[in-house]
Amino acid sequence: MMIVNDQNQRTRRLVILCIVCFVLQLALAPFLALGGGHVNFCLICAFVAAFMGGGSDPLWVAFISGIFYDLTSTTPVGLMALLLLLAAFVMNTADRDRLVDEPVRCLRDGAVMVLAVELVYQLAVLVVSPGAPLLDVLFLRWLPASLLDWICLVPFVLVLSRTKSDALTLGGSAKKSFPGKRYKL
Amino acid sequence: MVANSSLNGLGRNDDGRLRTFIILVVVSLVLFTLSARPETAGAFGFAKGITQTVTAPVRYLGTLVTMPFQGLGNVVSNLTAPEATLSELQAQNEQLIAENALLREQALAAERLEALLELKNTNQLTSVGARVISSAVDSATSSITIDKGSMDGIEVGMPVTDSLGLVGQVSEVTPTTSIVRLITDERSGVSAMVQESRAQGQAEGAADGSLRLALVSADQKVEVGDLVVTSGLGGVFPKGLPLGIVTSVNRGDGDLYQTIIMRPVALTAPFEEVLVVTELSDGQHASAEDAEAAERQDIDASQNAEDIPGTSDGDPSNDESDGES
Repeated sequence: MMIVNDQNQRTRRLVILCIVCFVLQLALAPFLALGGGHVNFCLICAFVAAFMGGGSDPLWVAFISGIFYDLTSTTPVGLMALLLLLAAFVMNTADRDRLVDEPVRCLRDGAVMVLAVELVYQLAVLVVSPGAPLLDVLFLRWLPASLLDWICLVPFVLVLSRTKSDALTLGGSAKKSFPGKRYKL
Repeated sequence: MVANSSLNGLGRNDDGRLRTFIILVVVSLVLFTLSARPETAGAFGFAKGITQTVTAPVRYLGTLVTMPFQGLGNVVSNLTAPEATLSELQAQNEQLIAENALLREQALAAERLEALLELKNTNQLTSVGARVISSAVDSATSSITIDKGSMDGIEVGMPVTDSLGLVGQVSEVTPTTSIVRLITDERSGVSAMVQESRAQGQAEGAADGSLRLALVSADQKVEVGDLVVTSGLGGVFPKGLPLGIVTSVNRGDGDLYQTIIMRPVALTAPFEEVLVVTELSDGQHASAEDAEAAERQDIDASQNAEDIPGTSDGDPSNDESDGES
């Protein structure tokens, strides 16, 4: 019974996270730019879901976020989905909420993965539709975009690490889930 | 016992996770491969079109919501004034500011529309007016989204201009919106010429938001401050639309072409109006003299290349790739 509740709770959190990030991606991302780089809230969504842990749900979130990003941008469909999927798989190694347990490590891992995902994405776009000089892509698109992504990831991690896991579920009990004890309760 | 069953559960969970991962990776790869192929790209364009149409209201809302934040600095300074003495005046002031902002906005819009109309009349453009909904959402391209699509007669490849000059070219069309690739995008290329000296070249975008005028041979006269306009070669962009103002010219010893950097004249911002040129008249194409001048410039550059030892063939293969990008 507890497992079912926990899964429902997690699913609700992920759905809310997706809605918030997708709206921000459409409404705010076009105006949050540094140089040639824009913030990617779909990436943030996938990363936060991966940090939350738990089975294959974060993978689905990463895939859907990536597809959403691809469909709303001018780049080939499937590219960001693939990259976010790989990043989520690498980061989602623990079956527990890393945001609560180790937020600083989440930010550190997030920084590395943001740099990696944005770099591969920019290079892949360069290969698919060449035209821009590599140095311009690296310094005017990759670095600013990575910096913005990470800066916007910080409040998500900090807020969710201080929020009880059921605060985002629009109701429910106020019990905090303890890592490793979920299946015994 | 409990621990064992938990471990078994986790093991099954990991298997399921790995299986999901592999399936989704395969699906992503298939989607990516298919969308990158021209034969199957149409279906993905359709899917993107539906997404763009469905999400257009959210983009529009985002633009509306973010507009007041441009004046955030003023709001902060107002908040620091003594509240007791200013409370009543503040309310009146806020109302007047709001009215004033609205009137100023309307006046500016009228000015812009007047300028657009003037540009349309001067250049005899057959065009459709549109409004900018938002900028690019990704970091790989420089583009804007406008609120007119195929239902308004917009097609891929049509030039887009504002009251100051050329903005870009329509790259994707949905029924109600279109994506315009800006001239400052690295993949953009527009046949251009220096208005004063008639030196021909190709305007190319750069990631820093500037424009480069490429393929202008070293013997052509170009100076800082010169206006660069579209040459009309290639028949996609109307002739004579302002593109940029030359900010630097570099002629290296032995170089076949000059390195020319421009500042774009067209500015695009949310809710600004643009014109999509739907049809070109005969007078908007490059004249036979312009085409001849461009050809002569190419021949001169090739001859210079032969005169200089160690240089390769200077024939620019993409000199007249107007609208190809």
